[in-house]
Amino acid sequence: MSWLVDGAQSRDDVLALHAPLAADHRRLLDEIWRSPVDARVLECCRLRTATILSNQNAWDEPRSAAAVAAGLDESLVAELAQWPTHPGFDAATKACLGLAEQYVIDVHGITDTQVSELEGHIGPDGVVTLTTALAVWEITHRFDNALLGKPSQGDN
Amino acid sequence: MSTTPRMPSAIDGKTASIRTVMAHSSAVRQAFDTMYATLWSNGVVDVDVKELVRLRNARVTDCGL
Repeated sequence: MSWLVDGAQSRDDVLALHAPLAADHRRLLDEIWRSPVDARVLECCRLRTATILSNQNAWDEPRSAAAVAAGLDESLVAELAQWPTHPGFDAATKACLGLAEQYVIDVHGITDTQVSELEGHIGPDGVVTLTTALAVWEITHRFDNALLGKPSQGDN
Repeated sequence: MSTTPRMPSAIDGKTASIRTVMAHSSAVRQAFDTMYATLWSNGVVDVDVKELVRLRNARVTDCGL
């Protein structure tokens, strides 16, 4: 639900208030999912940042079609909180998830070494794509939290 | 706060900057630029208000750029 649009059930319903921006937002997301970065890794990063920013909506909506097509493993998604020690996540995925967490918790804590290691796994194009994706998802999670909030007791 | 790019420029002969680093992923950059332009040029919020919000956000997030 949203207090901006009567009957709004989703982010798209709210974004429809600004159709040109909604279209550009969609196109940017499409380019991110079409990028050479493994869509399964991107989806893990999107969901992990959603958890940290408390956006349940991102977990409730359908998974990325690109990630599903790439073989996203839901049993691994269920273990996402344990990624630092879980053997199911490879080194590249862990490097991406590490950056994703640092990005939303304390972006100034990102180090030269961390970026260099990540570049070794996914290349400079991957680093730019992932960083842009993190920016878009952080905005999206905050947008959801701000405008798709569940009704509180005071909203009756 | 870091204001020195951690990535090299994607464009030969150009120094590393937010623009030349983002060029490593040109399709994503182009889509981002398009959305950013729409954000500034469309909508009912005045541009000066948007700029104030941008600057305030930069201050809060300690963005050196």
